[in-house]
Amino acid sequence: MPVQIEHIVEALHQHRSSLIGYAWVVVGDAQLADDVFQDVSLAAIRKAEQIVDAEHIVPWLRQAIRLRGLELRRNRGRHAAYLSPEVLDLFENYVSNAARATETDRMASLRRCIDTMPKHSRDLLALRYEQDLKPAEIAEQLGKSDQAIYKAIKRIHVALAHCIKDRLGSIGGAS
Amino acid sequence: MSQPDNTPNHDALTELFWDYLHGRLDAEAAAKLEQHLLTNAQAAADCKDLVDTMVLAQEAFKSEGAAINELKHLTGPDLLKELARREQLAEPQLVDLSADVSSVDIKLQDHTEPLTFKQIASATAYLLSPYKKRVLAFGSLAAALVLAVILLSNLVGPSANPIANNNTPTEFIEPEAPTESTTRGSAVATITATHNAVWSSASAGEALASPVIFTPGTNLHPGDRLTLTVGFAEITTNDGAIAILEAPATVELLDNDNAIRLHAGKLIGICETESSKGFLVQSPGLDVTDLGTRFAVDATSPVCTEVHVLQGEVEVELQSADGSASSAPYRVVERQAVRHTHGSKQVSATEFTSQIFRSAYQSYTLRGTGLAIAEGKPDPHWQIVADGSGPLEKPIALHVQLSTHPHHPSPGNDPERAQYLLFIPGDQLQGYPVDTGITDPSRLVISTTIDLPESVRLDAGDLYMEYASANVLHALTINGQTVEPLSKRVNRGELLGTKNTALIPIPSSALRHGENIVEVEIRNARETLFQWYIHWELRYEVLGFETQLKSL
Repeated sequence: MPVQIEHIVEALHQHRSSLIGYAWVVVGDAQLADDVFQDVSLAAIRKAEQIVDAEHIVPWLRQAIRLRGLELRRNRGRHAAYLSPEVLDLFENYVSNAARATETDRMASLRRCIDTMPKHSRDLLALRYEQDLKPAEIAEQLGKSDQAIYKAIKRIHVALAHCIKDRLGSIGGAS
Repeated sequence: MSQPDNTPNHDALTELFWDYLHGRLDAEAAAKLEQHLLTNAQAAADCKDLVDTMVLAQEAFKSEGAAINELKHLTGPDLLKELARREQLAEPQLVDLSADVSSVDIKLQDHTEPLTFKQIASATAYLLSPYKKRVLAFGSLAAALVLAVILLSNLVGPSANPIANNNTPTEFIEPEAPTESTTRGSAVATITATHNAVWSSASAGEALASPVIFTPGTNLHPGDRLTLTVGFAEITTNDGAIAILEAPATVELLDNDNAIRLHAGKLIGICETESSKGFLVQSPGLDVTDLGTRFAVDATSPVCTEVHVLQGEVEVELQSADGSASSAPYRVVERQAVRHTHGSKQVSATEFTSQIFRSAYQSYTLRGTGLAIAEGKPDPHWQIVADGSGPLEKPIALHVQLSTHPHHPSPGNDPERAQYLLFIPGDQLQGYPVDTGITDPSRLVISTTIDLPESVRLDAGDLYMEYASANVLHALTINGQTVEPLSKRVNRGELLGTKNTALIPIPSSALRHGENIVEVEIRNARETLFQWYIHWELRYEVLGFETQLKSL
């Protein structure tokens, strides 16, 4: 019996960041990754009858993201370099890996980690995401170089990733 | 906090992966990254954690920004009612929430302790009410909003993000049959089409409520508030204006037959009838009034609203604190765009894009070179029509050739991909069976015709070109009209030595239904290089709602 649409919507919510993250790895571009996720979300709802049961929703989404991502990146063709299929296989294995913490837990941990970050780091992320400024625009606003902002944002995310992992480990969940 | 893996290559791996995610990796560096990933089992897991963290961080900050965006246009009792609704408080609990403004001053500056709802409501009301001038005295509007984020994070918490609500049942509720409610006033608009639409009765900042399906034909009344969480929907006002929404978006119907309020998200307004002229979109900070046109309003950012005019012109007007228009209107014409940063008293020009609804755009492949044509065969759709000495007596069909150039690998007999048209200019083009008659190969004009069906809306669009050429793209002409400017990335006279892509903006007047003649002029700027590699993939990307919605 094909899956119900509400199961698909639930899966899209439950695995949203992991799926978008995977799409980003496939296409190497954040905006394009959002497009891939949106396309695949719509396709999943439209083609619900093709998904045999609830257990196959995430594998279907993973595969669809890969195919749609490859199609878009081929059409755009302006990226410097892409990862090979063998490497994409590695990443695909981590999407909805049962050993990973749920997205709810990851989001909760992230919020805790953000709370403990230095104020200037929070401010930088707020400028980047809340105000949707590009690193170059932030650099201009703060009177720093583009490269300095680019690297600072990278360092903050690396620290956040470690913090999340640390928090999830300490409360008994594997990341 | 745990320490990162301190293998010598870990930092380098992170650096490479970060650069990859931002499109900054060349082939050599990509090979290094691949090597890291394939030889270190933990590396891919760490990288996946990093990219997921980036997505989550983006969601976390944006959802809080959206919560502010939802609330900040409300003042006084309306704001408090909304806060109470979100917290499911009863009316009596609203008493005097905003009375104690002096304590708010303290809390705004010292918010290390968790705030009660009363304090949050009071502080938020204070921040967003006429009292806000006192807060703004501490700094910019941005700083005030940051404070609001801190306050609201206590209010909305993780539940602001749909991810955090994965245990919420997603029961679908069938819509009630369309009715004319006497208590809600007459219907002012109707949902006329949907495309994979999932609606929610919840708004940003609230826990994900049960999704609702509104089907085409559902009447909408003043005060109705709809949140589209997935897909697209088309709402038509009683006066005939069409508002197309792309999820996520929240709109509210007003007591007006030709108006709608966009709380957040993206909306395209289409006014094709005389009665729909004057269609009003109240968006955060801006009122947009149609003057016979198509336009896009982007209110996805919590800090600004953008208006892009696809065709015709609109009038935009700043709103005052109470939501009414407060300034002389600005006129914005086709292919122009303006941005208003909330809190500022002006609008500023910004870069126009016809792709406000990226995922809703349909891409029409116009005419790639060598499509479905085998090597050595002529492409009947592409012809050389002129050289440096002027128009040729007889157009020359270009032949498909596989490129042997190391930097321009040929796709090679792929029926779905554009292929190279390759030749060496001179008396005899390489691979060509007859004398071409080309005498001055320093300039070539290559022409094709493309047919656009009636189903394509001829909005201002973009012509997407993917090409490899060792020469100069000099001009693009459509139906005799030169398209200017080519684009930022394809400046006239630029030497193009590798594979390139370009989005070339096309005004709505340039193309027509039926046959269109497209001419591409290239010039050979390298005296020592006489090979011409030409490989075009032309696509016209325009709004595809009409086709998409009607295909349901």
